[in-house]
Amino acid sequence: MNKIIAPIFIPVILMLTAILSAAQDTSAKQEAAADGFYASAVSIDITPERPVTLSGQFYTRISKGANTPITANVLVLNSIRNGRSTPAVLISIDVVSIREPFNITFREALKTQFPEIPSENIILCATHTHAGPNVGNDPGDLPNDADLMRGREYGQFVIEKLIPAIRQAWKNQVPAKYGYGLGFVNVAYNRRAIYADGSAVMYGKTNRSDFRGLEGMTDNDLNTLCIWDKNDKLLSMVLNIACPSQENEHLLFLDADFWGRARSRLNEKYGQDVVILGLCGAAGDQSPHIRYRNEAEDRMNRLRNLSRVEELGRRIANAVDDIYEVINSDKKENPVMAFEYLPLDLPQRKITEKEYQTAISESKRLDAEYEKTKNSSAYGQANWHRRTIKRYEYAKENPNPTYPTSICVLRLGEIVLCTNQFELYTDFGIQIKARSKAKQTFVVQLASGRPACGTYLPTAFAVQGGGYGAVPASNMVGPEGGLILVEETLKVIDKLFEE
Amino acid sequence: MKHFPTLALFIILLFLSGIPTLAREIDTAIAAYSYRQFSFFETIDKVAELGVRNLYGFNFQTVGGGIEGKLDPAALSDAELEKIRLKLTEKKISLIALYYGSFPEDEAACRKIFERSKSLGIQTFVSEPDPKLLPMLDRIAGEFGMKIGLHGHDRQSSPNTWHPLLVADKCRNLKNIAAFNDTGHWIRSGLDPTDGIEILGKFTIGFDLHDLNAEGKDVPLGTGVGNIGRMLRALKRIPGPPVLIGIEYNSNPQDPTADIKQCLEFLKDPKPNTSLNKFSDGFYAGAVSVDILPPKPVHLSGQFSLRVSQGAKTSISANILALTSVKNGQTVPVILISMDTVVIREQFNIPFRQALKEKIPEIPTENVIICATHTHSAPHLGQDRPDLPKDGSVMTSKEYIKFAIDRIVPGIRQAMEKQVPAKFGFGLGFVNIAYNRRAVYADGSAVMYGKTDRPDFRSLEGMTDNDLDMFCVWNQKDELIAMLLTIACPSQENENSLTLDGDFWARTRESLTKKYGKDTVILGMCGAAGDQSPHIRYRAAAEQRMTALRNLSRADELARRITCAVDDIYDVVASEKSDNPLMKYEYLEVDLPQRIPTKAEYDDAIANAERLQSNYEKTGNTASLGMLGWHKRIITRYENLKLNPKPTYPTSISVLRIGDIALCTNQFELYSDYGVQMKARSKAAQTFVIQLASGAPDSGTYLPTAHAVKGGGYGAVIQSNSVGPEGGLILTEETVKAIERLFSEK
Repeated sequence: MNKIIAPIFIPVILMLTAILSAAQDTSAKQEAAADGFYASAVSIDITPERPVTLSGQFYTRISKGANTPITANVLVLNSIRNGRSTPAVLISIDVVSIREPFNITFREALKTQFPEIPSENIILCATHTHAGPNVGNDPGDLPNDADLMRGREYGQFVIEKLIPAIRQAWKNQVPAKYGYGLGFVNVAYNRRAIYADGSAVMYGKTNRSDFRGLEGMTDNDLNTLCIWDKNDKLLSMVLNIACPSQENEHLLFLDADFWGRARSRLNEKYGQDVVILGLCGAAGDQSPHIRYRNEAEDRMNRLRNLSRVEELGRRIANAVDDIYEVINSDKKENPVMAFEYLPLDLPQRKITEKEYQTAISESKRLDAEYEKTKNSSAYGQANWHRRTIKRYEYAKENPNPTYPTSICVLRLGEIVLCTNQFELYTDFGIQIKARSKAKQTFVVQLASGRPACGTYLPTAFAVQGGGYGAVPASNMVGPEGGLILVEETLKVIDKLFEE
Repeated sequence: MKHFPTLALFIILLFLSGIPTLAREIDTAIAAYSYRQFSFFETIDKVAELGVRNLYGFNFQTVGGGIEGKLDPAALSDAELEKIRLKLTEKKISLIALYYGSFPEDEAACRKIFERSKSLGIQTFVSEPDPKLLPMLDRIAGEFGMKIGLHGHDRQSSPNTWHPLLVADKCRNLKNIAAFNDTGHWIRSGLDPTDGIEILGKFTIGFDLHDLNAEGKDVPLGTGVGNIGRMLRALKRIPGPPVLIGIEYNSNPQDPTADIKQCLEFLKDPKPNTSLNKFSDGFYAGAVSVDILPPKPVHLSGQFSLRVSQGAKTSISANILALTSVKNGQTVPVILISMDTVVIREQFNIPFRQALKEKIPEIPTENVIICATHTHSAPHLGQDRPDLPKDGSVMTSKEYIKFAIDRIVPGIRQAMEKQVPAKFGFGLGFVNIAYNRRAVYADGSAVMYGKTDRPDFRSLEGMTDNDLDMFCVWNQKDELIAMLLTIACPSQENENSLTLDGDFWARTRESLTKKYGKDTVILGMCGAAGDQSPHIRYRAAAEQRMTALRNLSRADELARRITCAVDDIYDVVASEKSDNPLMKYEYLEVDLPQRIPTKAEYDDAIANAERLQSNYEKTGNTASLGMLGWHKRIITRYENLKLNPKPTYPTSISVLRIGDIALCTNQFELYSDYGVQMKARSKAAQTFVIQLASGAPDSGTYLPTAHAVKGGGYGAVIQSNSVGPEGGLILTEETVKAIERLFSEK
């Protein structure tokens, strides 16, 4: 907008918007009183205006600008049956994970600023971009730069935008239809290579002669949920893919990764005001990085004149195109909607004496390295090991420590969406899908927890192989807890499908 | 005279057959159809000018010479017939045969046709009568001292007579009716004319003789792909009744005389065509799709129980791509074949290689790679089961093998002849059709197709390779000749079908040829997929719902996905064509260590064999019989260890380099992890790993990883494996090394 005329127009536009939204609010409220299925969605830009810490690596990165907008995408669903409302809010946010400091502040703010629905019914999930702003504690080696936006400050910035957006979406609910479908998209690889001696290495080389296989399968499902208004205008798409959005994970620029690109392509085709929620499926052992025969994939991208992240966006958009008409052909008007929030205490993965000793020696080594080199990665890794030391010492006093977490299960007609806070290994997601009573099951990881964010949750097979992602320092909860998580999720699904 | 009974029987049989089988006389006539744009009277003049005495008419040609009607003797008046006789006499031409499409059911009407035709001097009718009229026509023909030759077009227009086997069957008990096929239709149907007359033997009294070029158009005899010289030599060799060669020339209908003269010259001295296969430096490609749908019911291969086919749902075909690279005068020829069959069994592979040596000696048989799509609803290529019906209602494997070889080998010849200067392009796409089919449980055990909704289900055993490896060849006009598609999933969605079914590859071919051109040949190859299957393994309701909303069967849906995946990359592949890619080929024989049965496995096999034998005897359950053989092989293998404690398993690997890609084959049902190892370590920009290729000479079995062997279950137990994980790693190493050798030259 032209800077000179902006001051004149902005107040007018704001006033008009307020009038229009007030009119809409009234009608929405009136309609919302009647039995039915209601929805509304909104996308907000939460790109920080100042430099921030980019979250996702052991070393500290300060943003130098933005490649794509950083967004939070909000979908409000509400079913009213016999005058009883079942609300759920789904939010996909371009951050690496929903860290504890942010989550606590967010939930507290909700209580006062948006008390209309229980905070537990608001599911906040990270896309896992590794080039989004940090919403947790600041790294200890952060430079003393006044212009730099700290983690808490950025968190506050987001909350100030996000809660009004949720409120706005809640007020703007309209009678809606829903449709769903299953497609496929190839963006993920299992990132753990296994070698002849049984060891596993995250991102381990696959062109070694002792390479034997990738550790597990890839879940290429594209679970799609679409919401339309009564006039069949598409309001929102929820896309659930078992792959973290972390292709560009070492960038010095803010970047929403493949979800940023997919949203942009999909908005171009399906409408700029359609709100796209990218949700990450069970994918603790997955990554979008090419794991073998790179040349063949890179060549195709070169011929298409696309970067890898753009290519992933293209694939997702194509996969949606492949199923959209099918989904559209089977819209449903008034689905049974049920929601359950379940707090759980999972057994913590126990630290052995040997693992404790390793953590001590590693943290000492890394501290020394940091002292010498000021390498921020060494600093991050030393902290990582220190957590293991603390856990071991805590367990001496409390021999069966548990880890508080929560799951949310949302039933919408024939489908179910279940969340957890972990980087959950794909096999657990498959177990849930394979045993679920729902016709289609959306497993969503990296949702906000109780209250901490999740860590890797590996399978027993992965623990045998070891390596980053399956060692104690990576896991608050081990395979035993993973199986409980699966069982508890399935029990809730069973319960919600009793009707 | 101790041989008297046999000899007497032979003579009696000859006598009863009604067809003399002594010296074979061959007569020649010009088929009037060559002059179909002219009247019959004009045709007589033209044939007279050629200096040929015999004419072979057709009953829908205008007579001319002032006669209004067509050359149908039953419809012409006495006066008109007399006028025709006079014209023939004047030009010294004998009308010795007449094409008469079909005969009426009414005997009196038939007699009239015979009587009036004979008055013109006609000795033989060439016809496609309703099979139910054959006994009556045979009797009437005998009474008139005439013959009827059964004619056939392609499978669709002549379902009863298109194939020589069908005609031979029909003529077996007839005295005056025998085959009169058309070599042009044979060649177009992928049948070698020599094989055609060998199948017919004495049951032929003539044929319309054509030679065709690679595009299926008539060319002078001896200059096309039909190998007519060889056929004529075989004809002289095979005893039987006199034969009439009708020279029917379909090209240049406005003036075929010069070409017919060339045909007549060829018949005087039928030499082999030597003008082919002389390539200058460059890259050449030609492709052909050959129909190998059996003409009779067959045993469908792929399950322990016996299934006999009851018709066909899709095409069953062999899709052939001939590639030749010539650099500095050095030729590298390779033939790639994708065949709709479960596996290339030894019983097929050995005679196939022999036929190649005889009929296409210019290509080393090692350079011919034939691979199974792994459809479980195609004819069996191995040994016949003891419970196969023996009343002749079902084609034996031996018969089908001959049938298939008789069509594939000429198809290879045709693909070679069709080779033109070509361009090459390749690319990588993705398609989600496979699942790892082995479920792993809490106790570490694995079960093929094990339930995934059990509480102790932990995972599928391994990854799925969703690559779609594709290469395309185009001619210099950028017209697509062929697509080779490799997907690590066997084509076995419809694996318990009672109808012949090419599974998802047949449906994919259909959909791709619709889009990319009906002449484009699609080769579907199976990547390393011993542990993979197209069957849905979990959350089946979600997938099935989508397929139902699309109103497709699962096999149709899989084909739709492959087609979409091809569409997604085709333009990218086409955007980077190379004109003269470096082509290299290596065939490697490898002796892999056999997987050794343990004593416990031996004891287990004995117990199972006894149980199954008794079950079969009690119930006649054909699955028990199939499984019995499976266990018996382990007993033999274990007992043979006394003689040879370290047995090996002979196999072969083919590695083909075309430009930046490598294509490597093996004969196993190779677990996907090995394929991924090869791809991960390959020096090529893109690597096509293909399993279920013909071996040396046996067919492949499952080749599991060490991880799978730990879990056990079908596909990873000793009964399923000739070679174990140790051999799998050697296979991988040898393949990777061969790729390295071929890529040492930049």
